[in-house]
Amino acid sequence: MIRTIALFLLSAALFSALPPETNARPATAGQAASSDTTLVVGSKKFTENVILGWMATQLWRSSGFTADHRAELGGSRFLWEALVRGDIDAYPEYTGTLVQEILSGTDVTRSTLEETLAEYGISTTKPLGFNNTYAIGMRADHADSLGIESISDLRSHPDLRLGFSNEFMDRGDGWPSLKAAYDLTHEARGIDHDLAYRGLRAGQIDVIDFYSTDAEIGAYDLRVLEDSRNHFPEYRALFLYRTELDEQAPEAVHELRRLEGRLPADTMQQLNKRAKIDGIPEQRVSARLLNDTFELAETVTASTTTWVERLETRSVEHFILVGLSLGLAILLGIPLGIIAANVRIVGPGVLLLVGVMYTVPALALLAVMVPLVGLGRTPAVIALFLYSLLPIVWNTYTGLNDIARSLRESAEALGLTRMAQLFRVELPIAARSILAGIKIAAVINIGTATLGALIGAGGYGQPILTGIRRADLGLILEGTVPAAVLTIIVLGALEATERFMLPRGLR
Amino acid sequence: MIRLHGLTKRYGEVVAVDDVSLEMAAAQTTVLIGPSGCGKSTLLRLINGLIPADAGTVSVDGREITPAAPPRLRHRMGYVIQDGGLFPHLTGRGNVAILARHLDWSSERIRSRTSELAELVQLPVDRLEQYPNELSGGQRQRVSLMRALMLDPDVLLLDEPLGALDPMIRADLQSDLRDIFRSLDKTVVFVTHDLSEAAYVADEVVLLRNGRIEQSGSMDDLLHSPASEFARTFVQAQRSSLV
Repeated sequence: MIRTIALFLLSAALFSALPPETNARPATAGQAASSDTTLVVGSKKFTENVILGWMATQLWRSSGFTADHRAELGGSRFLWEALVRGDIDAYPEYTGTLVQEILSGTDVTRSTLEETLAEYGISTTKPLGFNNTYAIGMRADHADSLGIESISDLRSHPDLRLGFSNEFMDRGDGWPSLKAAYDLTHEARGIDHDLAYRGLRAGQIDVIDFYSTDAEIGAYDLRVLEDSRNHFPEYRALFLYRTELDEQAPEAVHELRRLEGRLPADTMQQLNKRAKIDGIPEQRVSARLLNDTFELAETVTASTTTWVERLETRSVEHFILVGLSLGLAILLGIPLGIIAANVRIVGPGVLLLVGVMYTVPALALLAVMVPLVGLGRTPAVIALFLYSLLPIVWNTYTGLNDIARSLRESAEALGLTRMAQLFRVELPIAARSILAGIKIAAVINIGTATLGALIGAGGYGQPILTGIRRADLGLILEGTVPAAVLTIIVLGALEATERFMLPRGLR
Repeated sequence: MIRLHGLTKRYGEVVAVDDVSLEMAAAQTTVLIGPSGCGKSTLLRLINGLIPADAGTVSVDGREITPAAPPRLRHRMGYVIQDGGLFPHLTGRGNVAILARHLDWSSERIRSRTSELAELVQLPVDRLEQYPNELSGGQRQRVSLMRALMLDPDVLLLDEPLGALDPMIRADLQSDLRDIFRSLDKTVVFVTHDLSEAAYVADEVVLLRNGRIEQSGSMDDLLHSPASEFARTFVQAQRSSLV
């Protein structure tokens, strides 16, 4: 464990030297605040939250601030941790999520919310208008044919198939308590929220959870089942921001507050529909609303990018993630493999440790990393580095261990120093095995790096996330195809290296 | 001169080398012979310090040899094993030169020494560009011998160097080896289980049994006046193969 922490720290130290990855824009004239700070907005990985994130970003930009939007981060926890750490300055959150989930370890209630947040140095705007509570529902025609109107009606149809988002399956006010509140006997399975709508339409599942402002409700003619027992708490949307903004950039807080009460449920449902059903980018949905209904100092424009530009950006991001983490893993993995093969007591420990590391699910590893090192490239590179260690360390170890004893003794008997034995004899003979380990690490790394998008590291995972969210196959392919091409290129390069490096005698 | 004093090596309950004291004269070829498991290879590995002794000492020209001894003491001892022990990632030339390169010899010096040795062991120079898996068994042993002789050591240790070869090649290499030993004037320790091979190359013979010296002296003594029942039986069993 100490070794793990040491690795974390070492990697963190290495990467703190990197330039921050902000695509900072030049500040416009007529500054409302000092321009040497870049304000950062975060948003969760669902459409409504992304739209709200853009609203804050665009309001800030139109009033002269330099603002970045880290869209589609992997979960409420990541955003909260990032806000408390100061990696982001504001993000859209919901009262229910705050009370039930994020602050569930405290004795917070709706009425003491502000005081509790203040302990973390966080402030909140007033609610923006709509209440996006959880709801469960089914296809209207299906509900009619079974005569189902409220959640309690589900009880008389125990064979209905329930598919709920993974977050709803786990959370305090989600499925377990709903099941208890309505005495339901159904078994439910976890499913990605965006896939759930497709499953419902295809008839693979009958009942799903959604949010009461989801665009699909009207668009697909869904029935919201009545919550007659008032089980679901309020989920009023608001912005959380770092309290220090009140002093450092009061104008920014003022801009955020302009959204208070301006977004009633039907407005939000409309915005969601435009983004999700009509396929208009969130950035433009948000810009249009702001330009139409707010008096802005400067018209907001959504920057539009072509797929070529996006591909270029994503490729650079992905390549940096893979290159840094794989490079580090090679630099540290080979020495660790050498230690494992040569130092008796430490050896098995090293092998076991990198093995155990590999069994930690990627999401869990990222979740551990965010409170420690924040969002973005650094935690992603550290996580990828840790994953890439296993094949490199183990293959180095195996390659060295498989060398015949007669060869080791010949090298020793010649009178080569231990170092010369290692570098002139053992490592070259183990090279084939080590290279095989590097190839495996590269493939794992390129695939896993797509998860980096969940914590704001960008890369090919970004279009995949957006694509899944919008059920847009084109966007999904925009991430998966280049990732496959990158894998082929990297493997080709490693293969060429192997041909070039390995002498005839080892082939 | 190699001097062993009270040398003992145990592997668990088995005593592989049991309180052996022996002197091997300089510029002579001493053959360690005995049935398999008699401790002859272990003795050789103790002499160049590949394994630590449980008791006793080894000294070569007055300097004590242990696994912790500085590598340069090993530069004075060449070592050849049964399958050659050549490194598969290096050509014959690379194998021969590995130690000289490590010691920063000039490439000119390496080249001329390699040519000299190739002539000595009668290996065509073009074979040196081949990798070990492209050479015949006999050629591999010749390369291995060149590698052992590269730094012109005073001592040459050979552990069944002909053991893996077929009879024709074996006969060839055997006579070449004898010529080389005679021309070089080195202290040679040669391990074999084959009496005719021993008779061919030996100045002195040491017969080992269960880690102890059964008889040591000239080949004539062993053949004509075996010192024990075991020595008699050992000689008898292989006599027919003697020329």
